[in-house]
Amino acid sequence: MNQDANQTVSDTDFAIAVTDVWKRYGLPLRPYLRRQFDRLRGHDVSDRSAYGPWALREVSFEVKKGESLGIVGKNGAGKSTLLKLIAGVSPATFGQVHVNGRLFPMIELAAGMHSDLSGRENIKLLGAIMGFTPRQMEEKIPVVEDFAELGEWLDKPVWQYSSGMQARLGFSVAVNVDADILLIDEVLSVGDVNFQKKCLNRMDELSNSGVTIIFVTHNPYAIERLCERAIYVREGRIAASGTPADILSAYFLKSMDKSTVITGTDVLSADQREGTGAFRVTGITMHDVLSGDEITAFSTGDSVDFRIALNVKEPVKAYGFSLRIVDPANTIVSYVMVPMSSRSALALERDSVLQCRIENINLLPGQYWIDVMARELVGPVIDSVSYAYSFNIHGNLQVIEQMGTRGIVYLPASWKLLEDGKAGAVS
Amino acid sequence: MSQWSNNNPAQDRFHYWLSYWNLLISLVSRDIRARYRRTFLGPLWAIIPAILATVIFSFLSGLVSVDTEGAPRLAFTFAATVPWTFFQSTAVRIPHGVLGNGALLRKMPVPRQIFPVVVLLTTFFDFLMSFVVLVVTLQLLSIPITSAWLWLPLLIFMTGLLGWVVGIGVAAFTIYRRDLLHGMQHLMQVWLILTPVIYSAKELESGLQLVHSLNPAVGIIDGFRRVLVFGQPPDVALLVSSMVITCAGLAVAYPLYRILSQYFTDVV
Repeated sequence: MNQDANQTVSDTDFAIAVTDVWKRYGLPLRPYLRRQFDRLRGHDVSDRSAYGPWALREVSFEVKKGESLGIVGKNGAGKSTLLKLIAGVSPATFGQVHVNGRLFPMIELAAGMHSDLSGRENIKLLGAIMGFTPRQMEEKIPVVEDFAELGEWLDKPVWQYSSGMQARLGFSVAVNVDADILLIDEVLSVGDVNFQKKCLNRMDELSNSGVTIIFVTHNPYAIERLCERAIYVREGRIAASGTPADILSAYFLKSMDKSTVITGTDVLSADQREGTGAFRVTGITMHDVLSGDEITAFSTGDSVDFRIALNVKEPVKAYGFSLRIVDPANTIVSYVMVPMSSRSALALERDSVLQCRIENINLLPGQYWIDVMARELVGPVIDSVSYAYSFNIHGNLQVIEQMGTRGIVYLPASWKLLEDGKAGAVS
Repeated sequence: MSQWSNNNPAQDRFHYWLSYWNLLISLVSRDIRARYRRTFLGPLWAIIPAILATVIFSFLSGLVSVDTEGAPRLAFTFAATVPWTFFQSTAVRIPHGVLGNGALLRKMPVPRQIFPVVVLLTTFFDFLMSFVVLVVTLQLLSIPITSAWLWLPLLIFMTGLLGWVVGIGVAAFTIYRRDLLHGMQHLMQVWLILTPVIYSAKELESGLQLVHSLNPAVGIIDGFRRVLVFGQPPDVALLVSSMVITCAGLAVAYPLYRILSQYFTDVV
């Protein structure tokens, strides 16, 4: 039936090709009738969007063989739907999905397991679902068992397993059955740290040996580590596609609730903030160290002054004050606190401006936020503002050359070639 | 419209079917092993339904003094109950089997047509077990094995096919709406009453002529009884009509199941 289509695509080296795919859940009869009825009444029926609700629209992308692709997006954006379409468990309403190779989908944990059967029996069953003969599975089973590290649990029925153990079993099968394409949906979040590490390493190995991996997760660093490319799915469409770093910041910028970002004078009006209110942060500005001019952006490695205006209601002799620098992925990249020794010098009696100079901020280009927190030395919070200030860091050529856009911090590095035999233990 | 294709270079057509064959065997053995795993009686459950039904039906049949045409009442009922149980459990279990594998279907690209076949094979396993008990019982009642038994493979095939057709029809509708799933038990009770399991086909012939010729189960069940108990060949005219009706049902149910089962994961 699809002979022609297969012929044309098998020449290229793609693993998955998704072409203009639309997906609407449920049986197609009713929307079809509605559209035909509208056509009879002479309405314009060329706009598909009217015959939704659509879980996916106009989705097209290709994944090359051996490529690893990350998919990010909010809950309900269509990530899992996309995986189901690729896995072939749910049909696309319009468009084509081509898959080239043996595919193992891990959609949710415990994919396809039977709870009354033992772990070992389930491994065989999953193998059969993958299309392996019992003889082929005989060779793979010890490898899978080794990887799962479930010991005597393998002989117990799966309904007695914890969710972490189920994930272990499912994952062990997935990464050890020679699939050409792995679909992995948010399964790494279960299981303990060691197993997660093991899985990530194994996936690195697989990826290097030419296995295509499609990876859906909310863990941005897993995507950054594993994937060469990422797509951002929003409201059923592909909102962006590119390097993991770009996509992750696009995703986090979009998903960050804008209303919580208080900049400049907005802070003044915020009376509902937590804390005792002995003093309040009323504004934050950023200044050039030399000229003292207000700036909103600087380059990696520059030093800047942050000036925090404080409205003081009652004198405070000693207090703790901290700035927390947060990146678009909501990771705390650094934390600066008033040290014990300077506390006495910073006693507050009237409205003041507190200056914090940070030298050589070696953060990568991008947007960052500052959370402010002030508290009594022992006891309650005085004032706390999340996303109180946002600033941009521009890249300079040196940084880009050295590390592209990967990682969080810039570590100035220099390289040279030493003479033979001086490299020590590195052979 | 939409299409999903998987051209796996390592899988030619033969391997494709072979892998499905392996999957089929794995699923059947999974179901047979898993079904009785948390029970006291274990595999005995394969034969208990048919035996219990026979006890009840013999009791009812004795109560209303059904004419057994001279055969022992137990043999008369048992010979009809075993194929009836095969038919009924196949028809009832297929929709449940399809739904019960929802978790698997939602996650794995398994061909949807495989699950009704898996159910059919497990109920066939149950049937074979009960059939052994039936044959032993007939021997104990000194009813001889005759050349008419050569009809059995065809009769067994028709029983399974009919159950499978009803099963996938209901399963297909169940993907759309659940009514038939809930009504299935009652439907099968009515069907049982309209089929000569407790009573003889002759009484249906004289009473409800229309049901006698249109109910595809009549020819099959009556055929089993004639072959096993009376050593006679089945009523060929009835079998032909049964076959025609079954095939007509198949022509409707199978395409319906094929189309609707694609959307299974969307609606379950």
